[in-house]
Amino acid sequence: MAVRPVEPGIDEPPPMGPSRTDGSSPSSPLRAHGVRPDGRASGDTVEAAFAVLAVTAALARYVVERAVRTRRSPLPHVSVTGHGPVLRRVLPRPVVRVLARPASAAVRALAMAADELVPDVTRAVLSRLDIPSLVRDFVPLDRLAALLDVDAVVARVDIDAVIDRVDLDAIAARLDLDAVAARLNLDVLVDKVDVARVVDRVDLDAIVARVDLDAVVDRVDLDRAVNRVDLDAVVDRVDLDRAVDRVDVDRVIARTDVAGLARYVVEEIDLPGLLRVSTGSVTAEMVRGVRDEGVDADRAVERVVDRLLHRSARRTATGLADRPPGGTP
Amino acid sequence: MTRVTRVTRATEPPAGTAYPWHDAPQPTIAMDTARAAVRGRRAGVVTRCLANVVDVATVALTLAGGYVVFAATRFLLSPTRFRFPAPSLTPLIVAGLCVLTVYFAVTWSVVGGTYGDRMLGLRVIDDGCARLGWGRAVVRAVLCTVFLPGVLWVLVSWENRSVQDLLVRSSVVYD
Repeated sequence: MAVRPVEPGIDEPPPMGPSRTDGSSPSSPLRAHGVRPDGRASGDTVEAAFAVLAVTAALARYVVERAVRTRRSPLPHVSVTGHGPVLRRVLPRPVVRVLARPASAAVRALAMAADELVPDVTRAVLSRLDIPSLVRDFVPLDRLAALLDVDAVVARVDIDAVIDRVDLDAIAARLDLDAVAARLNLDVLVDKVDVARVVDRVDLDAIVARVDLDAVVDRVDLDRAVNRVDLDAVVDRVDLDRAVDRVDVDRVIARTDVAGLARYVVEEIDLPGLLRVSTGSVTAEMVRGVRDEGVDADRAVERVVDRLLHRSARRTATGLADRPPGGTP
Repeated sequence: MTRVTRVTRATEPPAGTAYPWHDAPQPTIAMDTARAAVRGRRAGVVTRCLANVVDVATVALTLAGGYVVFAATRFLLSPTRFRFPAPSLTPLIVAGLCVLTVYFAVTWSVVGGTYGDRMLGLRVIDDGCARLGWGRAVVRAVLCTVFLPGVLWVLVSWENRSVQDLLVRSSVVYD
């Protein structure tokens, strides 16, 4: 076949966008291939005639070639015997060749005309056809889709290359996250979340191991946190008896400076003074008794002597009682 | 006749709690207020005689101790010829009186009373309620040693003074 297939542009996808109000389709193949959309009747008629002629010539050429191939001798040989030398000398060589074989020359001429006309005619015909509507009306897209092996197509797609070609930064930059977030109904989303399942899948140990607790603690204002705590309420809720029951008192005592505490207590209660008082109490009681008894005996003897001496006045032995006892001048 | 005064702290824990140590009494200091009533008065003959008895016994023990020390010293010096010393009575009495005199003089002038005086709660003072000076203490010690019965003058004295007290102007009072 000598017909060179020329793409009329029907494979180009129609531009997406809103339809025009002037009624002219921007995707019209006439405009795409230089055909004036206003349409001159004469030009169109000529082009249509050429198209019909081109198609007819192509069909004729096809029929002739089939016939030639079938008969092995497609055309009768034109004999130029007798007039051959004269014609060869008078006529140019191509003309001689045509006259010698007129059928072949006609076929060749038709082929050349078809090669020149068929592409333009085909382009003109296709430009006047509404290919999408034809496809929509006559092509069973559902059947084609059913025959399509989507898995194989997907398997042949290089997803990595696709992803590499995707500029996620640009996509993210164009996203209006605020608007997206504003349209989200977080309550509904949260209600649908199985928090327990999420928590079960979280490896808290790994998370905690990656956390720099020192840095976290350094950034925490403990004073402010403590000031906000109601310690009285906390203490009221603490079962101190139970806590004390769990205390290992022996360890507490072992860690306590009992000797120092004992020294402090001894100093505080004046234990040496108590010991002096307690140890000397026995002898002190005895001595005190002897002293008291001696005083009483002195008074008794004085009274007896005074009575024997017929003294009515009391002794002046108490003259020093008003003076400070034991005082030194 | 004795009254016990309880000395308590200002910050005493409230009573009636379930902890008995909160109600523990503070250490008590017994103050013999009856003794304070007679403090400063001149002592009677009984008390002073008892004090003298204690002092004589103390001196006797001191002499006995001296005797033991003397005998031990002699034993250490000549154990083969050791015999317990057997002093005659006169030197022994003289030594006893000397020791008693020194004992009286030193204790009266230094601490204001002998061991017997302290035991019976007595104190020897002068007219100014002060301890006796060395001179007055020595004179009084000699008088007491030579004429010990002079203490019996307390019985008839209006001021409970002995003969020695009258001579050296001293007094023996309750402490």
